[in-house]
Amino acid sequence: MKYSINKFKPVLYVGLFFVIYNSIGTAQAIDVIEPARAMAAQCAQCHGMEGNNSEGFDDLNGESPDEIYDELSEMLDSSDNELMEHQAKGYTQEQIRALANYFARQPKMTDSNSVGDEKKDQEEDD
Amino acid sequence: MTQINRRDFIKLSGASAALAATPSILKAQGSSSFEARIAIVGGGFAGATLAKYLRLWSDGKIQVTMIDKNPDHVSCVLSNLILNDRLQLDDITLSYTPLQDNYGVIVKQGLVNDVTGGDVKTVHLDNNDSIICDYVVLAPGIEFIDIPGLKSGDTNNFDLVPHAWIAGSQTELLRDQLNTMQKGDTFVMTVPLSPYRCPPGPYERACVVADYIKRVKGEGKVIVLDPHPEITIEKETFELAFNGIYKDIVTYVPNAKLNSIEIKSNGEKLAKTSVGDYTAKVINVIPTHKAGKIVEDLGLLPIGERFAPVDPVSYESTERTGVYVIGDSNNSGQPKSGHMANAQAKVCADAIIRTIASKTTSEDFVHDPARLKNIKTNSACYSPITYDEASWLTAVFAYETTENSMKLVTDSFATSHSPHWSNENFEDMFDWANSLFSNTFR
Repeated sequence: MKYSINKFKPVLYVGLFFVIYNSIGTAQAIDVIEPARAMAAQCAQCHGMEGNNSEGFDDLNGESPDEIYDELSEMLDSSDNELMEHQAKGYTQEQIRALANYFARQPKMTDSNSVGDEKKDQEEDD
Repeated sequence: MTQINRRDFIKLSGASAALAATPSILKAQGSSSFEARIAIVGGGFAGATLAKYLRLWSDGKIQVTMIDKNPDHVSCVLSNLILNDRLQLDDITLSYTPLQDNYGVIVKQGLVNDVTGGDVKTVHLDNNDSIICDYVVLAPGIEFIDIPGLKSGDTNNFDLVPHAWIAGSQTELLRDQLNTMQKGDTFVMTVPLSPYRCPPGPYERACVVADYIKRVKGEGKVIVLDPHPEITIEKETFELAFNGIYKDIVTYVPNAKLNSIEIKSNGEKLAKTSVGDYTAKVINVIPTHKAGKIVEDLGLLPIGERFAPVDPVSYESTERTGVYVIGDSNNSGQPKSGHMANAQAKVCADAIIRTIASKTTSEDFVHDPARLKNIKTNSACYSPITYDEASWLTAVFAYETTENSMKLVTDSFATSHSPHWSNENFEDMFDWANSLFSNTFR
């Protein structure tokens, strides 16, 4: 079996992020309001750009906050020796709640890459 | 959600052509409209991630210029798989074009000689080009400490004894040398003194070469010369491999400090160490590291230090205001790896954006307590142990206010065991690498 490095991944979500950041933007020239953004970006190495478009690992976007929170909370208590179970233990309950809320506010990607409904949800959340 | 992994690779490649009409709203604007100008020296995992996230998180309001001496980046991540022909160099060569096209990063090729100025800085390139900017971020990776016997003029000569620790032609050179080994030949490699790039990397390399010798050459020796008293990371895993599946091939020598390399007139290569001399058909010296040259040239290394001290809330140099050091060149106490370089770059991007925003208010957004309590970085990696099995390692770091440092969160640190390596991990390794490449360069 030949393992492949995906060198041609399309970048579909740049425009979407522009929408997100603009939608939470303020009068400030540069937005620093979203406190969980930088912490959530630490998940993106494996779970895709800001949670979007991961390459085989779970997609975190658009799950309900409780779903993400429960899953990560379970990992905090788990004694399984899995990589993600240990990553989760790097965060406090409070941080896991903040991460869950942040990802739940991000639009979920669909197969057709249609973002209209998610954008609406996003605006409602904010 | 479409799960994209290596199995869908071909399908995805086809799809990308149809979806090529990428929005270009983050394309570079006229310079008058920028809030700030930032020059990034080095386009590896640290520099590329920073370039992307500065553009993304500022909505394109920051002008970002990234300078690298090479036209594209060859990933050290997965590069040991070149040695046993699992991958080719092209597979791990990452273009800067997506950063330009999708985020409006200005990419320049050249070597940075100097940075002058105070609040407004000028970055000088060796081709006489220069860049005016407000902040400079150094992400130049590593330099090697001289090895007696390899020194040629001002630089070490790795043409005969490759390091293969900065991926590229050196990796291919080592692969080609391994190829010339005959049944029963010896391969000697040296482990650099900690801290060094990719903690499991040298031991992983020993395993990959041992597997190659076992499968392709039948018999041969791998001698691992380690200056440390024991294996520095994933000890149980690598000891199991060295003393188990590779017991007829690998000899692990602790406390072996490399003194010099000798190449005799008959071509024979000799590694002279504190515990004896080792002759080999192929020698792979991974010299001890220090910060990239520009870090030292700009006076950011205190005397006797190998890496640059930084403030971990921003990665700003403690020696010079407005100049930051991210990735392998700083001494933040976190592992030196592509994954961690990406992690640090995001903290740095956030800090720089907050610094810029703070300028127009009386608030200090960088030291906002709500931010400080949530500063995290993480590292995860996979190491191939056999032809199709790998181990893993993971860690999360959290900012500690009282000590102003990044501390390992104890419970987050773990390695694979039972089994220590598996085919499932090997497959996950490609998902991890693909995601990391994508998050960094696209």
